Amino acid sequence: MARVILEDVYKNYGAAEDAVKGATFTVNDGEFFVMLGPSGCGKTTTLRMITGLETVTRGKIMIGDRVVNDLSPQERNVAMAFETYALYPPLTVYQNIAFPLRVMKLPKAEIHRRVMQAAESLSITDILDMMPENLAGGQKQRVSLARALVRNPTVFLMDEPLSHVDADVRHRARAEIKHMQATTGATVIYVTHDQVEAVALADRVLVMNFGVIQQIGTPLELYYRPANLFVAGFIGEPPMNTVRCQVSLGDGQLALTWSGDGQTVLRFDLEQVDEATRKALARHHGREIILGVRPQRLKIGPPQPATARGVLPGKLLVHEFLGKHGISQVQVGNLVMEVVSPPDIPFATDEPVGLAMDVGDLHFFDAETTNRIE
Amino acid sequence: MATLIVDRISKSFGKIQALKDVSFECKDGEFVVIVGPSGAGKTTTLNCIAGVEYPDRGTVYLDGKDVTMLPPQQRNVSMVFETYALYPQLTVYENLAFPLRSPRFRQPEDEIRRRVLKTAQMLGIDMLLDRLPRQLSQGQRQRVSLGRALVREPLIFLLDEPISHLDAKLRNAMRRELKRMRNDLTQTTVYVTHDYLEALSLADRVVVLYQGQVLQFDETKTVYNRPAAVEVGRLFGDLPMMFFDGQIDAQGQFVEENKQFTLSTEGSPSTVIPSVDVILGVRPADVQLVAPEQGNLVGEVYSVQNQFDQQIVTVTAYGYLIDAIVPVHTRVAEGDRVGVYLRPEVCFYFDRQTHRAL
Repeated sequence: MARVILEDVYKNYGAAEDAVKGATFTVNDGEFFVMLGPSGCGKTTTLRMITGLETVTRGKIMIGDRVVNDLSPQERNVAMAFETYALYPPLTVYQNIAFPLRVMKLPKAEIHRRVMQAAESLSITDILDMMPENLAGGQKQRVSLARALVRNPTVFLMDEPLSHVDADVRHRARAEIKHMQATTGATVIYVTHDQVEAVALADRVLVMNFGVIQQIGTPLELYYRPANLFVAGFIGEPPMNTVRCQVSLGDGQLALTWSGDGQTVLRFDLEQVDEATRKALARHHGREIILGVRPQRLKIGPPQPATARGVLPGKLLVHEFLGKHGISQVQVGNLVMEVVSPPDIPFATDEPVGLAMDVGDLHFFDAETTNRIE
Repeated sequence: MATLIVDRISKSFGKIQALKDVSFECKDGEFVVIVGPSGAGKTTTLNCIAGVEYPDRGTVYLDGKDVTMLPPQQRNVSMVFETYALYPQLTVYENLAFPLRSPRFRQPEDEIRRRVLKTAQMLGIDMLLDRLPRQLSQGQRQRVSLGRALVREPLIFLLDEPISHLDAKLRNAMRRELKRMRNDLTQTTVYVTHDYLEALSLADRVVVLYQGQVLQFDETKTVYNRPAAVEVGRLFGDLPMMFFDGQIDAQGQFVEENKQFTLSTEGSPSTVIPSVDVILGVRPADVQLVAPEQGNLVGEVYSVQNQFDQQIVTVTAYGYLIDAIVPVHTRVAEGDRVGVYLRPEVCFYFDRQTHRAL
């Protein structure tokens, strides 16, 4: 397995806009690295450039110590597991997995050893004699992964391999991929548009939008310190609540007033606010910023007096019972905020409620650039 | 007033029996969700209510009247297949008025205006009447789409998987929108979906349909907390319920079929009797990971998936893969030896033959 390095990589298909702009990042040896973003953001193009299925317009791609820009996929020794399983119908599972090794003209004993090892890591030793047409979707997926694994590739590249897997067993398919990666120590670069999937699998996530890398970090880093509004809204479900408001620091208080109605105010005692945040917000005193708070960090309770700290006045619009948790929508001023709540709450529709939060759970973004304020 | 009674309808298409003795009812103004996997017969059931299909046996009563063999136009039901599909060149008002201008309805203009305004007000879109669809948000468009079906003031409102085709994020948002609308909708509604979350969120009562048969018809929370059959348990859960075959021994304990682990059944919501073949069902959210000596089962961590506020830990034990949802601060890694603890209170038992709850 090996490291993958991209240095200032661009891709242009002849249009006015680059499909990928100045992509620079390193995937560490043995890392599970996920590229995440909405469709058309450039993540698949980037993966295809690493694979060797697309040329690089500008910039350098290195796998291990080699610059691979001009090498074919075979010469790069990368393995692809894409959406379609593409198993060979007339061959058994064993023969399918062995196929790439026979093409490489490896000795029979070595082929057998590698096939059995791959079959063991993917728990498919019991179906080696079966034909692809008799396999279930999940089994086909594992055979496809085994076939990619046997070549001892430098890097494993996957493009939305689970999109055809039924939603209710998708977590099992992810468990298989995660297990395979953990036991083999493979370097995996995985593309998805599904942030739940990215977060479930990744050591680190790269978030892309319009061909530009937005942020690279562990799932927790992206969740707790999103670099900009796009990342903040993309990671996490339900999405982060955001609102434009005026910042005011004074009289020992931090006050955030909704721009939309000029009335709703969120107050905190300044001594509750950590120094770094205080300093950062002081630079925006009297001006507009964008405030963000996650639905999971809000607590619904009885309404509080207007001077209360860390509470917003609201009206319960709707509450969903979803089994082990609930999701509520609360009208706060001119904004509808979503809250992850217990499955049942002691409030009825249209009842006034208070939304409580810690100042440490708030995110602040520049109103013009939408970058994180810190 | 608009009550619906579906009484033992059966329907076959050639050799395939699509519906078998399907019975349920909706009280006036009730929101009933029919949930089941694809092929369960949900759309066929809806079609029989609408009059698009006729059952081979059984009766459909609308407001006490037998409508089983009446064509759709004589039933006054309104069906919505998917949201949007609005006429892009017509204003919201004109989109809503459109069904009332059809040759069959021929309403006078002031009656059309009255109905459009009433429907628009009910759905909270009365300030958008001059806009074009492209000027509306997704949620607003959905309201207009529903409004177009409601404006004819049908007795019953039928929705066939209206948000299933959307991606997960949008589907969740639309489901919440529907919930908000639902509070203002006074229509008796039958809503069909394969997604249990929509059932949990929107339904007064749920019909669980599986292979053409009603497995359970009850209030939403009861269906969730007391699944009447294995398939109901499997359907209702973010991570599906897990099942183990076994037997109840002479002491009333559950013994796994290969005798690999036993569980006390005292405190279980099910009532078990000795010497019966059973299926144990338990939800991943109810599985606890403990020290190996404290578990009912001992296994090895197969994989760990992060979810911010929780972790999905898959454990391999005695040839089974068991999912557990554990708090985010639990330190656990692939390869760790762990104990799996299943409290009796979260263990459901089903008859091995009939798959029915005990």
